[in-house]
Amino acid sequence: MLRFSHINSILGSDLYEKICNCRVLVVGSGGIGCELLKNLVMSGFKQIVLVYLSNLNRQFLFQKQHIKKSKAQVARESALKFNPNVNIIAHHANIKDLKFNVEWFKGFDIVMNALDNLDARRHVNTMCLAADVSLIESGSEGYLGQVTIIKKGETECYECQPKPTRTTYPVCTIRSTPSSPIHCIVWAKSYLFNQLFGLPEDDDELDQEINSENEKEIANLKEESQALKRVREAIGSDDYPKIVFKKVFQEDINRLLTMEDMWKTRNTPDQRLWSLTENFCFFLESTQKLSTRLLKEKSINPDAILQFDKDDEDALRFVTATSNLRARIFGIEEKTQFQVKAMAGNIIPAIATTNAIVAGMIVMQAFKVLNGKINECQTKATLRDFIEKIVQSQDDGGMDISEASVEEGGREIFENPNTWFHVDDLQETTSSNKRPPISEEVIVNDDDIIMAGDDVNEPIIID
Amino acid sequence: MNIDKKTQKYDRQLRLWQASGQLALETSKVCLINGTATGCEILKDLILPGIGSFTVVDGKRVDGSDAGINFFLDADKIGSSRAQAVTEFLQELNEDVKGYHFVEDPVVLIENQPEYFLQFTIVIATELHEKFLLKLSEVLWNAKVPLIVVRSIGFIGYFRIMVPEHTVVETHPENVVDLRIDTPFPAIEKYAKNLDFDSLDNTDHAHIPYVIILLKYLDQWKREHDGNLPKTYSEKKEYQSIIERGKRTIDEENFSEALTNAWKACTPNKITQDIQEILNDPACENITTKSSSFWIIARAIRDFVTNEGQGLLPLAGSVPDMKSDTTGYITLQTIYRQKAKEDAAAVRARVNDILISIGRTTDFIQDEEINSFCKHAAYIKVIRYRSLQEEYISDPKKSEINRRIQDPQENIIYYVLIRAIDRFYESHQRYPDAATFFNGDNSEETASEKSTTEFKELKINVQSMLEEWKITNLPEHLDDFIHEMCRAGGSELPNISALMGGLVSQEVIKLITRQYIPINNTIIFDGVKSISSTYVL
Repeated sequence: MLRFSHINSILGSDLYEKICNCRVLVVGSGGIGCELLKNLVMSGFKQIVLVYLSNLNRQFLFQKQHIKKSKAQVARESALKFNPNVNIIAHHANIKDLKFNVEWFKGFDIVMNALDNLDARRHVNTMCLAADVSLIESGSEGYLGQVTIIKKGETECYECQPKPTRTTYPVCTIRSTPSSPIHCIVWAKSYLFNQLFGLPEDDDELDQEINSENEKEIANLKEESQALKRVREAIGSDDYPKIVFKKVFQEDINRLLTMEDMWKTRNTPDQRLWSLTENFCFFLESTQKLSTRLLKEKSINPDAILQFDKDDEDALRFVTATSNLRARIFGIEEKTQFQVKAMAGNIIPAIATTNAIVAGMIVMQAFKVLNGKINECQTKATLRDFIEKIVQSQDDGGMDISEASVEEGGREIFENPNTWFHVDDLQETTSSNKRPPISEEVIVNDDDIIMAGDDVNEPIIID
Repeated sequence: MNIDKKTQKYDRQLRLWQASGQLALETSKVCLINGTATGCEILKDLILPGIGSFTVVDGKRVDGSDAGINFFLDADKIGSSRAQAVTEFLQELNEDVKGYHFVEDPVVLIENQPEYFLQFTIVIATELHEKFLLKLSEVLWNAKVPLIVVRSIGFIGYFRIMVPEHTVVETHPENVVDLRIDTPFPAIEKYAKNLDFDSLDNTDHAHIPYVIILLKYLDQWKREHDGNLPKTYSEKKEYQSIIERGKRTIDEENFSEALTNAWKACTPNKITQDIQEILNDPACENITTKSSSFWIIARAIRDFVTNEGQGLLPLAGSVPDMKSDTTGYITLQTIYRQKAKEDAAAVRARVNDILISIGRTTDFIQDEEINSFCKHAAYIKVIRYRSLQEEYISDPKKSEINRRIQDPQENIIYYVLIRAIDRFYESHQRYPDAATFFNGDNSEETASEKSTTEFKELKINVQSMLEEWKITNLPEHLDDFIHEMCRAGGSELPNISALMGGLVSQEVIKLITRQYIPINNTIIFDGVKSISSTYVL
């Protein structure tokens, strides 16, 4: 093909032939995935299988007319427009589906992860190890990003570095003695929302945290949950928001007030009934809307529940309003819907620029894998934050350059640590405990609140 | 589009550069010279986050190789205007961004009407060579418009940023905590003094914020040591053991936090050299009507430091998370915030004085800007780039290039090659192109006579370049490097284009938003070794 003649001559015909024959699996097609698909097609890859599961539309291969279409299909069509001779198979499916078994994975030469959650990353890692297929793992967060080659017997695997543990909060802090905005948000999102619209909490969870000091309080909390379950029976009636409000913002608070020990060193909750603030209006409105929606779904499927989704306007309003109302009671700083969204939704900010760099790196790494050079290059590339990294040595005449990289563990480090990507350095991290490939935390600007998801299976959104 | 929808659309990036950064982006006008594959990748990464507008200036018509390497072109467009074709495709990425094209050879425009480029917030030049680059850079430099020069040849990527001065307040440091333990201000000193640890019950004692613990015992230390801080290793150890003895039970977490932070607390709070240099800068000394708000506030801060600040910068005012009960923490937060407010107010007053003295009204600088400046005072940044004129003509970095050219870990050799290719281009109006003569076979034997000629010509350019810089230490394998450049034939590799697109656009965003610290001043990326290097050239 003429259009690839330059690529052929730059890459060399050996590598180019390998690229043409390489069977690639791309898992996920978020920001990095779209960039990656474009780069693969542009670089001459001809056999690409895409597996993706989501209905988010934030990526550049997707335009208005594509909304509600399967993302995997749209990505395929957009890429084919550029080069119709590429064989792209798109599966709109969960990669954990049993049909994608070890034998199926064995059908690929390289697997590329462009995923947004820990659970799927772990799964693909395991499958690639079992099938002995090279995996290129990636992720981005703000101006940071990472690309890692994983090959059985040759490199570390995804599980070799410990993942950051998620912050958890004692149940009594969330339910009885909140002291920061995040406590109120977790209460609204994980407790109240589920009690009212989702899967109500099991008492077993409370039992797990029981100890001599909180025994009495846990018993109270169990009672409170049961009472809320009864409140739920009123769902659909016009009075529902009123009943809920009275229960959680009046009765429960009054009960907590009677528990003097607990409040000894804390702010006393404000006992006034609140004026009709925006919070209150949004509470009424969102509770009604969510109730209506739940009942509608129940008429189709009796077991239907609602799940909190940060992109669901009503759910987010509900959590913002209720957590702020609760925060008001406890004299805790209130948060904007924008802040609540990040805190409740585990948002990891991903931006186009970093995604482009990461996707570019993935294909660079793929060339190395195809050339059988895993052992000759570093296997992990990390985009690090620049601030601490850029060391300007202007005194010696203005060259801003770091010391040449070191040899470590027989692997040649393929970046100059100070100089890249942040512009942000790509840095050797294989033998150190630097930033792990994926972080589950979200750092919220002002007060350095670090929070994490409340369920291992919950996707961390990186799109 | 209303605000809410915009917040939703740009949700992720707003968390990185906030509404102020987004506003700067949305009001920016970006110019791309030549609709190359790399240029289009850069624009894509700027259009997605929502710049105000982009303009592609390009006089070429789309040819087959353009269509082969540029995602934003397809075969149907061959023969049509490249500026128009890429603008149409790029425009589709974001309906809120305006796309313009100007079908004109950029070289002609630079020659006849260089002031055309002064309308832009930033100019990105791809495929522009020495002579016209120099001319363009001079015009933009004088008007203080940033220029980024980008090259992508085969596996090699290069870009260079230039603008006379770039100042950043919001550098986004990781940690802005400044607790002033060593030099407590009156309000916090008084609060710590008045808290009687002995009268507290065990629960309250275990909830004293560590800041107060440090202050309390440091005050005690200072009283016993003529007002001095613990200086030597043994003194610091002793200070730690005093804190240790204050513990009632072994597991008082607040005391553990105090011990962890004890060492830092004894370190005298000083203005760093970097910041001192900014405060001593002539631009800070000589405030005129032309001074930017950055320098006016910097001057006010300098005056603050020598007067009411008593040698210290305005307080940032944030308090880190720590073991404490709610009341104690909120009280502490309030004390620090109050002091930060007072400092900012003092700086505001000084800013007003300066503004009046230069005949401006006080609303020239808003409170918000002053508050942000005070909060980041210890982390502000000033970059003065070297001009292309200095780099190319008046003051090339000869000795630096000479020093590094033989090091295989360095990319400076590619700088020499790119400059040599420019010269080749200027005399031939095309790139040395041996690509088609290799016919997919890498062995040199099959290279035709023509490719040998190309190689020799480029080598002459490289040698004259090196002679000009008086470089005698020739790198090993110089011929191989020259061959590699001939082989690329000036062609872009899509994947390198994509990578460069990400790198360059990231720097462009930093420049436009004036947040985070952009690179100074050249990045060269070698995709073969995957090594990138930064040079101040």
